[in-house]
Amino acid sequence: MSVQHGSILTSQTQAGPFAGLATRLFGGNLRRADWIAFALLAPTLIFFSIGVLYPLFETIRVSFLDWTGLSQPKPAGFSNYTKLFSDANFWNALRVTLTWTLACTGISVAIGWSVALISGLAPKQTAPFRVAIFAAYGISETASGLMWLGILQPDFGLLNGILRLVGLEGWASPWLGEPSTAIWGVVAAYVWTQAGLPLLTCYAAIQAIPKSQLEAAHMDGASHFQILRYIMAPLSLPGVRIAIFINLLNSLKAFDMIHILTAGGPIRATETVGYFMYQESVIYFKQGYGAASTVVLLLAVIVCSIPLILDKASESK
Amino acid sequence: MKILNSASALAIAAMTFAGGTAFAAEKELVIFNWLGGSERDLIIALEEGFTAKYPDYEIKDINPAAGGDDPRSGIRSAMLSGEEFDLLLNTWPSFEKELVAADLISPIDAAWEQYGWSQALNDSWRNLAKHDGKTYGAYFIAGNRSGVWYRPDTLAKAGIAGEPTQWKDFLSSFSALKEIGMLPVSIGARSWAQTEWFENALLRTAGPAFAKELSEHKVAWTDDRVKETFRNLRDMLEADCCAEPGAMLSSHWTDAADAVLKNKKAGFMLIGSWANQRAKNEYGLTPIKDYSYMQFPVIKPEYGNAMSVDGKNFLVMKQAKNPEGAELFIDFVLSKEGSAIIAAQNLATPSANVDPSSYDPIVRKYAQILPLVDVFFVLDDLLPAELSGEFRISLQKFLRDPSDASIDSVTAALEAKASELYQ
Repeated sequence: MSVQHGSILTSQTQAGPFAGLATRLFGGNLRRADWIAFALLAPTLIFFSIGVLYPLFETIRVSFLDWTGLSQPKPAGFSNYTKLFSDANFWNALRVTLTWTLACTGISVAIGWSVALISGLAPKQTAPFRVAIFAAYGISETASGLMWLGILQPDFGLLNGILRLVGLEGWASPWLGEPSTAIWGVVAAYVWTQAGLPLLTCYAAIQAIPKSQLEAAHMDGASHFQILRYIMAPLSLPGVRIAIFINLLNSLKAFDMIHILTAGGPIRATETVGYFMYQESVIYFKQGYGAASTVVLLLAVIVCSIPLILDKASESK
Repeated sequence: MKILNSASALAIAAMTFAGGTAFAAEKELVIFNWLGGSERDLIIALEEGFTAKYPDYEIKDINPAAGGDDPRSGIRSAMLSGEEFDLLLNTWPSFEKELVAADLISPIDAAWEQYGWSQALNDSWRNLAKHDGKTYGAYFIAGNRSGVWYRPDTLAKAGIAGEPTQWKDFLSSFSALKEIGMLPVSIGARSWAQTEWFENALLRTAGPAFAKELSEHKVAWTDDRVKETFRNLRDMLEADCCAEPGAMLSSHWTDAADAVLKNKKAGFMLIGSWANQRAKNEYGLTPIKDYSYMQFPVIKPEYGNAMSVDGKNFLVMKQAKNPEGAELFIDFVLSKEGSAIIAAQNLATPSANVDPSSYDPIVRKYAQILPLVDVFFVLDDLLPAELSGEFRISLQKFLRDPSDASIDSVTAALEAKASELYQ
């Protein structure tokens, strides 16, 4: 058994896990180790097929139908897709998604990375801040959304209350009711929940920097800023890359926060593609049209994932 | 009690499989009841009343676990997953129309004649559930959607003598309210409550017949009577009725109710009759003494009798295993016993079998005028869902910019969407 296990590892490390497998599979002479590998993979493959592949293919199939969920589905060809790209509301959703994704990812990662760098210089003193920021990541978006709804409420909200208290009454605004500010209100709330992850990954990358490098820099007379700028910042970039990737995907999929704070409004000012998809499928019952927008969103997620996948692939080589 | 909810049905099924003694009712009636809160309690009370009167019936009450903001999503999911039931509770005529088109519900004209339901419901209620000349539902709950709510002590403080029942008086009452530091009107326009103002202004400006034609797209949204309705609402905005647009667009009807009925920060609000439950149960107020309502002010005298209503009915499913039982249940709901149960829950029924003295004063006030007015179902529920979405957003745009150019723009957008959907 141990010999066979070893042979699997050997084949993986030398020529990848699937080397020769196809030949053996189609040649009908699978080894015992292959069967064990299949057996071990089976539960994952089954759940992946049920939970991911089937819904994915079903969504793609539905995107070619004209269907309200009650009526008989009618084949629609590519009409859902062509209509989608001539729909001003969909283009608006794309624009909002771009702003939303870049803002949420950029600001969360900037905050998380900055706090991680400062924490790298003074780990003990900054521990409470790290815990506080990361704790927000653990709170459900629904709970956070309700809390931020209270903060941004026009009459009795905390933010306007503080502005009035410090004599800046003119700055008080119905943040979520104005199309120009609503998106930034939701971004602020979402960043609050998301900054913990970049903090974690960046801080982990900083912790992985060999102590000897930092000590050598100290001995050479480098200032804290120089250590931060020339050692910690560049060496924590792997953590930043992971944070960007995960936050980007999370932002693209974000729904709860938008739903609670603005429900895509006012006047579609916060309607992302994810929210557009929900509106079309669940509220307007246009299953095919909603599915087509889902497929477009999926393609966007895949496109965003490619750089990291390539990056990881090159690292593994 | 022979009401089974989904959980107890599951428990009985488990007992059966475990070898316990299963019991089977002679006649089972399955009701898809998606309501929550006090309205759900009402349906349960009706089901209990029915099984008490007809002991050989057993009712299985299905309550969908999820549906999001729109219960129709939960109903669709249940149907798609193969859930079978005899009766479906419904409140959207547009959804009813969709069910008719998909051949999922049965007409009940034969039962209507057999049981003599015309004795209980007048033709205007029957017509609300008619599609292609056939009747599909019998309304058993009616709500007033033309009620403008206020606190008598607020009006007294502002020196407003009596309800401003005419539009002109209504607008001129704003200055008195502003003088005592109150916002005259609170509108929660974040989601849909702004549509109530347009719909009632439309009924008072162009009448129910025009509103019906508009809901069926037999007249264009760019018709001057639609624009005139917008201009009437603009008069209200120009009379400085409301908070800044951003504040309206970030608040719900519940915020408006809080402002008017609870916090005394605003004078009037317009919302359905469920505000009565909120005022009594959540604010602990006494009807008439602490709060009341008036019908939407009259804009044109010829349409002063129009009233926007909502309602709930039961639809008999095509796949019903017990259609006779389903019709018998509808008959019970419209009967004297059923109407008494509804009145006891403080909801109004359009059935003539109700004893109005059992209502609370607020419900009695509108229940008494129900048979006398020209009812029109709430417009937003008559529109296809996508047009309803455009309608809500168009009104948000109008609240931000009530200029002539904006009115032209929003009516054109509504017409474009309607033309696309009513092909």
